[in-house]
Amino acid sequence: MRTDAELVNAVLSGEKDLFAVLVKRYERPVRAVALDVLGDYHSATDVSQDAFVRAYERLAGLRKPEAFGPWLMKIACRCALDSARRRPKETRLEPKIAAAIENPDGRLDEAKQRLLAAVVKLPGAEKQVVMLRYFGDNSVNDVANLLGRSVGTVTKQLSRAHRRLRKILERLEK
Amino acid sequence: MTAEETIEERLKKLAQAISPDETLVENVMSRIDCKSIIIASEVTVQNIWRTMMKSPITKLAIAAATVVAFGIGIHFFTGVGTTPAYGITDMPELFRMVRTVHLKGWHYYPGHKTPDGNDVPPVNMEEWFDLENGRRWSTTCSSCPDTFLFNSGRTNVTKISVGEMISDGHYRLRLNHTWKTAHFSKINKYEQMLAEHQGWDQMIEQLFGDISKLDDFVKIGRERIDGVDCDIWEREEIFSDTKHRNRYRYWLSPSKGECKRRQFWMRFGDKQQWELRREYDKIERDVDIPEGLFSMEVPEGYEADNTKETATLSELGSSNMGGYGDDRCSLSWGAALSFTMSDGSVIWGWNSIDRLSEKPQEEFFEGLEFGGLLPKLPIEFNTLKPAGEPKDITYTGYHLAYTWKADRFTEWAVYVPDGTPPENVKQFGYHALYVFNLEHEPRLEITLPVPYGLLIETKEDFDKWVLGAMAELSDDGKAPENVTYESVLQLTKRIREPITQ
Repeated sequence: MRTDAELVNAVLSGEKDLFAVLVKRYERPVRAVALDVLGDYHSATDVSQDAFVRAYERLAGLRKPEAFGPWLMKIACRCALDSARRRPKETRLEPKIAAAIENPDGRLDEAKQRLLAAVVKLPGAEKQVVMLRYFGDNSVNDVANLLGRSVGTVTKQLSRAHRRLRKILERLEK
Repeated sequence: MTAEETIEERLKKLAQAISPDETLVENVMSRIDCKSIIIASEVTVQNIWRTMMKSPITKLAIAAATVVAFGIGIHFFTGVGTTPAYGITDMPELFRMVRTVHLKGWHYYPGHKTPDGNDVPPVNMEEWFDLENGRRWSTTCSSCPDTFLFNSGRTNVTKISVGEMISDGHYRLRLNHTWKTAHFSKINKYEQMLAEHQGWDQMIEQLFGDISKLDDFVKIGRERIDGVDCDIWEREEIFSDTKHRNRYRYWLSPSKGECKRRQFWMRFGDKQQWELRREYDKIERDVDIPEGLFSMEVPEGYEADNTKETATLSELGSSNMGGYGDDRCSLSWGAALSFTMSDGSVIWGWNSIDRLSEKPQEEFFEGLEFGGLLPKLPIEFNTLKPAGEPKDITYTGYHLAYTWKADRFTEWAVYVPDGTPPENVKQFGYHALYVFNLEHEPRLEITLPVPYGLLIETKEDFDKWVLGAMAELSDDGKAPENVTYESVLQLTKRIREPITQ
């Protein structure tokens, strides 16, 4: 399994098709970030495509290839915010509206929406490991390999993220 | 979702709600003009499949093969007939989600004698980590080794002083059971954050040491403890300069993932004898904390030199100070926190002052530039070296900023290594080298260890911990504006480029 940094470097040296591996690796985390901002799956999926294309176009400007994940998620967040701003006012989703039960029009229930909002607020490195671990269905070892970090570092970051999420949710659920 | 669900379970459910979108990859790749490559492979697979399914014989064969493969798949994925086998590298993950950890064991003093000539008995040690609430309880044990001349020759004579440290996250109570004394201190906000952040790390380091070394353990045997079969795992480390050796041993149940015992052994120099120094024989996770464990009551008969109400706020770095005086100077120095950046550079805050000097402290900092020379303070800590072996890397200090709090200033400098730092800096940290900027050379040798500190990997880490520490040590509660994650990394990169070329 190649790390993010290896893939970024390979894409930059001409192996453009390897960008597909990065897209596959991060498609769910990116959609999660967009979903948090926009509230519905369909818009989130469109925005995710835009985010990946924008990331590809700017890849040469990424100074630290190993920071691809957090950098991509920032791009996704900006794309989603741009999209939200472009929406007509009457259709812009308020958190409470978006927090309806999970239903066929593709919205998360209130608790999931809250958890997702908390995940998106995590510091970059913690957010990345949470996204890759849960949204990417990777084991801790796999996440460590993907990011070129030690298993210990990833484990620590996951533990911190869990504690932080628990606290954020306790505050929100009071 | 219910309140009883763990964060892990909630995250898994949330992840299920955001199902993979198979079309996204293709759509993105088509938009960035890579479609031909992706489609080509798909078309090939689809064509083979279509060709095979056109024939009734291959159709049947494939159906049969699918049934067999499905059966094998189920067998494989449900793990029928197999048992999980936990090894030492699985331990951090098994301890990752714990709420509480309880450790109990012994300190041993082999070869040491008490002042009345008896062997020093093992001293009980116990620790509780309440990771959810940032609380900690531990026994403390300090030994004062003296050397007395006994009939049989020189023998280590050890006076043991035992106590307790109780921290509820906001206050710390230290009890000394030997002298029956008590002392309260109030933990500042930054230290509270730090304790919460490092609680798990401290617990895991206490138990497993440097977890990046877990791969170096080897299985050396099996033993049954309390009816549970355990693998015995061992790692040794040798210090090339002193030939000193450490040995770590763990008894782990491969079926339950339990750690039943942990031992730490030492062997000095050319001695052949290994000495057992510390042992945990009870390691429990997620057990209920005994009622009243974190009570801040001073036991009857103990003399307290303050109360919770009159406890003073602990100051960052106040525990790492030193002083010296002669007829021409009155020096004091101290170190605040240190941080290691992901590129190996070290940010360290320190101070030094000569109380006999009439020069105003502000003057030392006039005209200093970000990335320039360090201030010519009475003691100038200008270089760091790795505390462990090898020591051939040199970290040169450059000024970043300074902060003031009350009458104490802190110089914040970045120390840039001239090569790749050894892995063991994480374990041993650094030590500081210095020059005296005085008119005379004091007869003084300073040993100032600089810990590895927190690893700063992101801008968020930097803002929270580095700038947080600078703000904590500023009268106005603000960090210097020119110090940012980006500016420091740019500076260290600029410095390293000519060094590494």
